[in-house]
Amino acid sequence: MKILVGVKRVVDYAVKVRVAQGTVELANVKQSMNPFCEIAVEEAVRLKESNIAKEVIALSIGPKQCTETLRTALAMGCDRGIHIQTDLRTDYMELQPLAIAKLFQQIVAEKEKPDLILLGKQGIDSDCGQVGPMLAGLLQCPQVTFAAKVESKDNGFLVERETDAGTESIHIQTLPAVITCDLRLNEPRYATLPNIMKAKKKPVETILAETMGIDLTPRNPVLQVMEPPPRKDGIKVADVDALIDKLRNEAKVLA
Amino acid sequence: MASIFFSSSRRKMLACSRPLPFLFTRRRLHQPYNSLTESDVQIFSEILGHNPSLLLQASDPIVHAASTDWTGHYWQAPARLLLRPQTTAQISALLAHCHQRRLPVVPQGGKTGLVGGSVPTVAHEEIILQLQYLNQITALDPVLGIVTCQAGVVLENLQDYCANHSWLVPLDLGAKGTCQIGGNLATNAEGPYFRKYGCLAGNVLGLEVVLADGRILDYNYRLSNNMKDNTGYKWHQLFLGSEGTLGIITGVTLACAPLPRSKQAAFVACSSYDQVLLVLQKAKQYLGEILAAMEFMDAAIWKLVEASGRHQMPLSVETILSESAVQEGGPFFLLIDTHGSNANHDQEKWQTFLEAVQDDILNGVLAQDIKQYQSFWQIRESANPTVAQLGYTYKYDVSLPIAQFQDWIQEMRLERLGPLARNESSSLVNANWGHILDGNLHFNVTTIGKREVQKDVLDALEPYLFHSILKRGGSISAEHGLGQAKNHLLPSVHDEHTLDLMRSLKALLDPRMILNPGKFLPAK
Repeated sequence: MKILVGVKRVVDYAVKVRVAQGTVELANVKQSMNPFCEIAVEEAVRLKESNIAKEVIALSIGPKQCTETLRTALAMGCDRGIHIQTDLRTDYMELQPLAIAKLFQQIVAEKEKPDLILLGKQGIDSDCGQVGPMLAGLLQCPQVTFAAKVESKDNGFLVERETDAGTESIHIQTLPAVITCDLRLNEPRYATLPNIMKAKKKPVETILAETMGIDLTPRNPVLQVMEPPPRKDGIKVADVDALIDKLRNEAKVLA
Repeated sequence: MASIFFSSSRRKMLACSRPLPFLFTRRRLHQPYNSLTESDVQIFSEILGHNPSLLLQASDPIVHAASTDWTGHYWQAPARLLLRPQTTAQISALLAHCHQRRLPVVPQGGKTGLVGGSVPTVAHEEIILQLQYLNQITALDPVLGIVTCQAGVVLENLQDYCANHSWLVPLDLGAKGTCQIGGNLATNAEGPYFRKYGCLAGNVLGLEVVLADGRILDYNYRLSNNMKDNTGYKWHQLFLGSEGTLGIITGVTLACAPLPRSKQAAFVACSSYDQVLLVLQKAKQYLGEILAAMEFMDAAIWKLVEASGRHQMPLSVETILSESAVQEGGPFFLLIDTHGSNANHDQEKWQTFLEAVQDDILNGVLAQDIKQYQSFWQIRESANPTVAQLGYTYKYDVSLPIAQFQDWIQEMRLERLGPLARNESSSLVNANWGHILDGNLHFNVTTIGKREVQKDVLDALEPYLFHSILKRGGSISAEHGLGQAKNHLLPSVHDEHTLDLMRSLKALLDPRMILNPGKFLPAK
């Protein structure tokens, strides 16, 4: 079985995002692999370690620094990488989920033909969660989102899916299929130094996005980008009467 | 002069073994101080604006908690009174009154010290003076990175504030969420970044201090932010590391460093201490100016942190032992941390370094994002809390020639701990970690499951440990200071002239000995 894993390079989870010149500031900001993509890579590597998959390919779309993200994926155990290079912003400002899904579709349908596509459930920059379902729609193949457990079953997979009401079990009977990964699925491994060294020798192929013949113009114009309004300071009240007065007359949460 | 190696653990043990009534014990000791009277309390209350939350009496459970130190080793009795001034002027008035009335005072910051320096002693009935309400950061020059703040500012808050303006406070500790900058200065705290950012004292540009008699002294604090000023004795440096015995620090002006744009960290495992030394040398050579910290953790502490189950460990002792032969006490772990201004340049340096050490290490992991970087530090910083939870921990903080760490640990294990009779139910573990770049080792012995001092363990460790450190030219207290734990050891460390000079300084600045009695200097 061949698995294709999507890995996105995003502003690091621990960074406080700032707005500058009307958009999210990226200059001099630390960027790393999207945490949900880490989980997807981990799951793919585990499937390879349990001999369900033979080859794992990591795919990343973005500027030339994406090769660093791909090297992390390779250090975690992927076999090779594909880098679709573009300087368009991938945090929704320029390249948007539909275009990303179409780029993936071309790689899947015409180039690699994997049996399984593993993606993170959403990018922590755009928070859309759309590439997975859109890709499945374009490929006309099964999809399970928010996977918390993935098991091989017959010639497909048994996936446990997180919902607000609980967990549902879905049996994917035909492949290829798209699975997007949620937090509970696994705990990603660290990149060990020997594997980082080995990863440097693994092949990474670069394809320029504009040569793929796909319309990459954004469908949804971004009107405004702003920071959330600062939270008002809390106040201390002198006694319970003052508290009730404020709750009733200012916060208006009491009758 | 005979050496008196009476540590706090031993004194606590002796106190336990002689159950004299509380009052009788106090009356037997020399009392140069007066007792607190109602009139004193009234005056304090007036100074504090009659605000009931700023003055608490002994019966209040908060005073009880404030009288116990972090390790729990120095609990004696609750202070008579707890004062929480909000301004330097109030501290000045409070101290002036205490000086006039000969009332002893213990200044208290975050109370995270490990030598019982900020809690009252039963002998003296000190009043606790807490600094926490002096918590304002008053100025930050965004161009020069000079920050001015009051002594009660929590270190982490100061770090966050400066980081928002792209400046780095040149001090970091595991206790950052609780400790206050005033306490850090009073104890000359160091932490892991000493090598890159220097001694904290070197970054102090200004200081505000209240003396025992209430006089306020200002060194470049309120009036100016000069970086260079040679207009007199550097008297302010005396107060740094004086542990509240010469004056109370109420404000500081600190020089910050540019916030590093690129931070990288790796954990590596070595099979022998010789390999550790090789990695250390190569790190200095290949990582050069970006090398910020290198922390040593031995197999014992690594296994304990693993067992606590609180962290996803990047490496496992068991796995390593199953794959490779290691020296006794190994494998040894190093956390290597770099700070730089350009991630690409730093990664190049890391590549060269990792290639250079690939035969010197068994395995290692490199943090791929900020979260992993922070987890590595959390693992390192959990060493102290992990052993503290397991039982009574005999803690020693020493300086040694770096090449001798493991040799000295083995000496202690073989000569002193090994011979201790121990069975399944009373196990004892020696776990070691430290700032290896600075030659600073934290040697810890924990009796698992037992929360009381045990005489045979104490006798095995003291005074032998101090003798052996001094014989190797080391320091018996690298950074934790003296407090009431190690002040008794000073006559073995310093000659009489030095001790006399220290006593003279104390007599000059605090003639009535009201500031933090029983601490820092040995009792005469």
